[in-house]
Amino acid sequence: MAYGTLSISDLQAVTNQSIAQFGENDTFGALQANLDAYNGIVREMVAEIAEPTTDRLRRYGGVSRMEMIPADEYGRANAQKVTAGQNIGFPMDNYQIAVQWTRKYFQMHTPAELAAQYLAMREADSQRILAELQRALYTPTNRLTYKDRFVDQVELQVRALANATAGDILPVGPSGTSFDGATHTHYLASATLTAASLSALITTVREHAVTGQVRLYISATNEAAVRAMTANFTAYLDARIVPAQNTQQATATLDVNDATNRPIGIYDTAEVWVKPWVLANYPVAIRIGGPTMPLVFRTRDGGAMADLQMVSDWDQFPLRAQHFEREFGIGVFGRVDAAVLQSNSGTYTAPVIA
Amino acid sequence: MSDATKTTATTTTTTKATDAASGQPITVQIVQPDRAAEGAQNQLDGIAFLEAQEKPGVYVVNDQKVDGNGEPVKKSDG
Repeated sequence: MAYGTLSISDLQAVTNQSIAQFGENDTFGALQANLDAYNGIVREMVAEIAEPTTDRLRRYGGVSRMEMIPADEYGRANAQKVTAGQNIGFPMDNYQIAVQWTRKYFQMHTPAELAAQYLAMREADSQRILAELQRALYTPTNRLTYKDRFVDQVELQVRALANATAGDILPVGPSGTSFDGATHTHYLASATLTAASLSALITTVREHAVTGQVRLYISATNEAAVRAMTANFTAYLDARIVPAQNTQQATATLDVNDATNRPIGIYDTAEVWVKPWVLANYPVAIRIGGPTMPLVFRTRDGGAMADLQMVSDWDQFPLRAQHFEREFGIGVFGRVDAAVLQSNSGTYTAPVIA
Repeated sequence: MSDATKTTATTTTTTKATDAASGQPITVQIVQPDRAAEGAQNQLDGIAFLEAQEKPGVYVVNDQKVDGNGEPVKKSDG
């Protein structure tokens, strides 16, 4: 007797039986088990920089400074007030994908071929989440009239990171420093990737809070350039290399296998990560573990449709189709907890995201 | 600090160790670029860079200059 869980690899191994012979229940049981595991992994990975929430509107910024006034025995200070932040909304949209077969397909084709279709569909979901994450971080403009069309058509003010817009209210810094929302931007631009511009990118995020750690996320395309900035950058070493005794070293070990998703060293005070979702020439600094997270991953109130799931199994002989959906939206919340640098232009140009 | 100065700035470090066979001190001279000073200068340059960026935001979206609300920027503004 064999024990174990049916997985996609079992299906891919079954290449010499048709689905009709293998059994539809076995086929779809394995796909569902894989889908559950996949949804768990997605939630965990997104949670690094995006807080899962069902909120659609929050208040952000404010608490600017008041001033204690010296007064004498008969003095009475003038009343003061501060601006109490501004609304910030989070988008939510519906994304759908369908696969369709004929009845004959089930009789003739193997589970391996069905599994391949399913994996391609799952990959499309991952790519959509990555694209929305990029759009939330890299778009420098607000959407002040976003309609919450999957709930009640209320208009939400979806905002970008701090983007130097008149009327913007940003939180004060840890030492009482106030930041002028009309001029303070977290979308930086430099004609070339210089050490000074990367230092500035990190400072832009670091100056806003004292908790958490700032990470610098770069694309693999820019890795060589960052490694060459030896005055600011100290590389993690491959564990198989014995370092020289008289050089400054970072103590963590370099992951040599995954070249597009790994920490590679320390730049100023920030750990540098190569990440697959970072666009070339658009490095990003993000505060991890701070009081607020830069992004939120919004799903519907009550948790419905928060995961990729099958919404219809449509069997109309001779066709059969399955539709999968995920409802989510990624929006900015901590407007000063992340910053982007475009390192190949003097003016920040919004990248084209598929 | 100019780029030319950065590449020529050096620090000479003298490290003393003991030769295992003779017990005599060995002097090693290491000459390397002054990385610490260069890094500090980069941070200062970075702050100057940041100050230069602080102004009402103008961004390019779909080949058009816009402000933070996505409204087209008038030529007189930027």
